[in-house]
Amino acid sequence: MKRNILEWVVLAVSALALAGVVGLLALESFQERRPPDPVAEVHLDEARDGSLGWIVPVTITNNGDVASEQLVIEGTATVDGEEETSEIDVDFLPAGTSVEGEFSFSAEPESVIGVRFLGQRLP
Amino acid sequence: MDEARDYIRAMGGGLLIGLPLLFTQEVWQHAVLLPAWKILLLLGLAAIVVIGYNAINGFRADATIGEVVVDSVEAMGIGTIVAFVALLALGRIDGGSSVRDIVGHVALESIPIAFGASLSRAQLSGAGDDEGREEDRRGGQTKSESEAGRLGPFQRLLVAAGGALLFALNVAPTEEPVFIGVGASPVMLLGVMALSLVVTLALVFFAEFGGRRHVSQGILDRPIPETIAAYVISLLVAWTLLWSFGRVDGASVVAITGMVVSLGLVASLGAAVGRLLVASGGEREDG
Repeated sequence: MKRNILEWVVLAVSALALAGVVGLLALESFQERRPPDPVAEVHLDEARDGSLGWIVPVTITNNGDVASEQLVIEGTATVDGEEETSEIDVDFLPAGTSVEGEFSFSAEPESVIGVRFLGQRLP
Repeated sequence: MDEARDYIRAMGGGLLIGLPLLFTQEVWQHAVLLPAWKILLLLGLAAIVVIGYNAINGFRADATIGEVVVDSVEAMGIGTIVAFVALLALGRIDGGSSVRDIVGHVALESIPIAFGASLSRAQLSGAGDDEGREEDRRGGQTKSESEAGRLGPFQRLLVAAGGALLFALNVAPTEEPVFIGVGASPVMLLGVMALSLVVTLALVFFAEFGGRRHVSQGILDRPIPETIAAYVISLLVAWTLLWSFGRVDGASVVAITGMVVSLGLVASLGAAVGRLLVASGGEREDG
């Protein structure tokens, strides 16, 4: 069967794409999968005054190899001498991905914002 | 350019068959959550179906083994590329996705697209030409048509497995088979089994889509044994898919039976349609 350039290109691209997918999946199969490891980065420099309080953006990243479900992150800070907490719930955070969230306090905290990981469900 | 038209057909057919799963949230989650080896296994099953289907179609047209392999690689490759582009367009993957997520998404979504690509190259083109050549067909039959009726029982059951996989794949990732299966009483499940058998028997052997002829050579060529064999294969396909998507983990035997039977209805219909579609060409002649 005679093949023209188009057919060669399609065959080559197909074979490459397939080999890539299969190869990466095979590699992944043999790799040990680290449990989900959520990390939160607080962006104090981007904090702003909102109508209902002081808003602090946070980036939550899953550094593990397994997705995290129903992840809860808590931020703690001292505002006007009182301890305040703020909570962010993340429904689904795949491995290696980030999600943006925001903590909210009644006013600008005078202390450092402490971040705690309250819990998650394993898939 | 015939080849370009072929590839456009393949991409179009692939997208048509693949779209429901591209828009299914559960598939996106499975793409991320399933262990890589399970996705590989599903790809392997899909490859068996694609190669088997191309072989059955190809051998009618005197294709060599090499051509069958090339067609299969192209179908799976087109599936991969179309899946990648569609997932990008739908925002399911982007620059922020990890390589593992991208590969998982592309691999899972490529399966129905590869089926669609194979189908459209062999089937849609054939069907389209049939319409145009209605007159010709009465006079002299083409080779592909005359040989289609000669599909052996094993080939028909392979086609049944392919049809079952194609149909059930659209439903298996969702929660619904679990709800239906767990909620059904044993009597209802027996009813679903009876319904599956009767409907597929009627579809394949009595509805005369394309006027099926009755060839009685071996046991598996007879209507009832073939229907039962195809149903058993459909249940196996249903179980395999449910297992792949982690639905049977931790479930009781009763619950698993319910899920398999409820998904089996979908799978068995797919198996019936598959047998009709692939075997109809030649049988129309004798009907």
